[in-house]
Amino acid sequence: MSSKVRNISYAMPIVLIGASGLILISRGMHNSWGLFLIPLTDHLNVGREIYSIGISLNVLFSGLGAPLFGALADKYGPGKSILLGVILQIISQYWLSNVSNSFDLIGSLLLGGFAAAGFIGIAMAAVGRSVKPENRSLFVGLVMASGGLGQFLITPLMSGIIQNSGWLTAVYILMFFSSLLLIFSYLISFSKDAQSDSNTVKQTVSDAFKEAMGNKNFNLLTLGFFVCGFHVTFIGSHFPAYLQDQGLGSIAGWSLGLLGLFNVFGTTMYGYLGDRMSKKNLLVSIYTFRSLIFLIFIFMPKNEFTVMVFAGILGLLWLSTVPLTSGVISDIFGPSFTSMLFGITLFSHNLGSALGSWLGGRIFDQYQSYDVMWIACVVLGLLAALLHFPIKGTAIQRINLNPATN
Amino acid sequence: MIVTNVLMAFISVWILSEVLLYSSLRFVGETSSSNSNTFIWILRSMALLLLASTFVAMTFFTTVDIENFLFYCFI
Repeated sequence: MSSKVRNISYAMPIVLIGASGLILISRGMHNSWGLFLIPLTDHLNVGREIYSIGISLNVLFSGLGAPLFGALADKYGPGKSILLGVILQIISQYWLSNVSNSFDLIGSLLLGGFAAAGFIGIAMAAVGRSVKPENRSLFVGLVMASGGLGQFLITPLMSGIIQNSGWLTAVYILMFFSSLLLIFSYLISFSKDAQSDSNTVKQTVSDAFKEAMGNKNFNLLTLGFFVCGFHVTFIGSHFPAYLQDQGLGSIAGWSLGLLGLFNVFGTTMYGYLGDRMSKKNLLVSIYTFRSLIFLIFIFMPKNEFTVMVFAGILGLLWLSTVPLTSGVISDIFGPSFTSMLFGITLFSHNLGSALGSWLGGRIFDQYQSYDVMWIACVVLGLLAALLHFPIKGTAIQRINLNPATN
Repeated sequence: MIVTNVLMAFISVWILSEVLLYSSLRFVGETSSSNSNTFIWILRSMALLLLASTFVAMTFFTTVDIENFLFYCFI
């Protein structure tokens, strides 16, 4: 790969198409898992808890695998790392297509989560390395927005297939989509290698890991990203049920539709702004706005209009944190190990996701109300804003021990 | 009635996002650049296209088991 493409001008659109396709399909497939809940639990004649455990492990291993796949991408190239993930994903889907007991179900979902772990981080880093630094945040935002489009396109399609042809056919279609990712992994391999930047000091994966762990700015960023996962998954998993409790269940679909729509809008917009303003300050503003929106939502009357406006505004702030967080990491540490370092922050995000989903259910079972969770969202949002405030997004100064790299 | 509320909510959030974007660009003094104008018009077109897609999706895919779909949608 080292001699293949080093000219940014024509490698860039290839990598951009590869990364967008990867995120579009992988996010679309990921968002389809909920559709398999009833047919698979019916097929195995097991309770929904088994499937929930599988999904929780899917999320958890998706977080655990993110830094590992990121490190592989930084060392051996993004294309090879994604290729490994895609092969594991196809194996997990093949395993799912032959599911015959709870172990198969949980195991295949776990493996699927682990396999897809590196996709977002690696795609972000590959795009970040392939575009001009002044447009990095915008293009990363555009790629992330394609995930929202995947949700629009693939999830309804999978729903239709499950209804008309059964879950097994739908799993085979998912395997087909996964095989398409092989093409995108090849396109992404046209990105600059992590180690090819002549302006950076040569480091090993272990050095980069230690450096990041000892960096206050990185730790604050990682802690703050935990809150993003908490917010997003609590809303994603409990908002429809909350609306049902409020007698507004009929607009759950529209609300989430508007949320998804403005997510595409917001991610692109914040990506664009990230190239022109301080990314750290934009992150502070996003978390502060989220807290304000949650606070207003607690007290405002709930009707169709107000709930949809809430969902729309939340959509603007939904995954806008991703290009900015990835951008801050790239700004501080350079593009060399962005995949692994973003993977570490993504692990924190997924821990927040697991907590948001579980705690929402736990608190509702305890109090028959989500009030405590809404307050927790406000407090955590403000805490995240405070955590991001002291971050310095400037490149760290390193002593170059290897004169050959200069 | 739901459709009216969706449109009203869409327009409200759209106006808010335009204000947010425009004031942010004004803050960094970029409101008049052709680069920004092009971007803003691309973004506006994309939002309208997505709105139309949402209507199509919600109208033609009424068989989606929305609760389960939404439950795992954003995990």
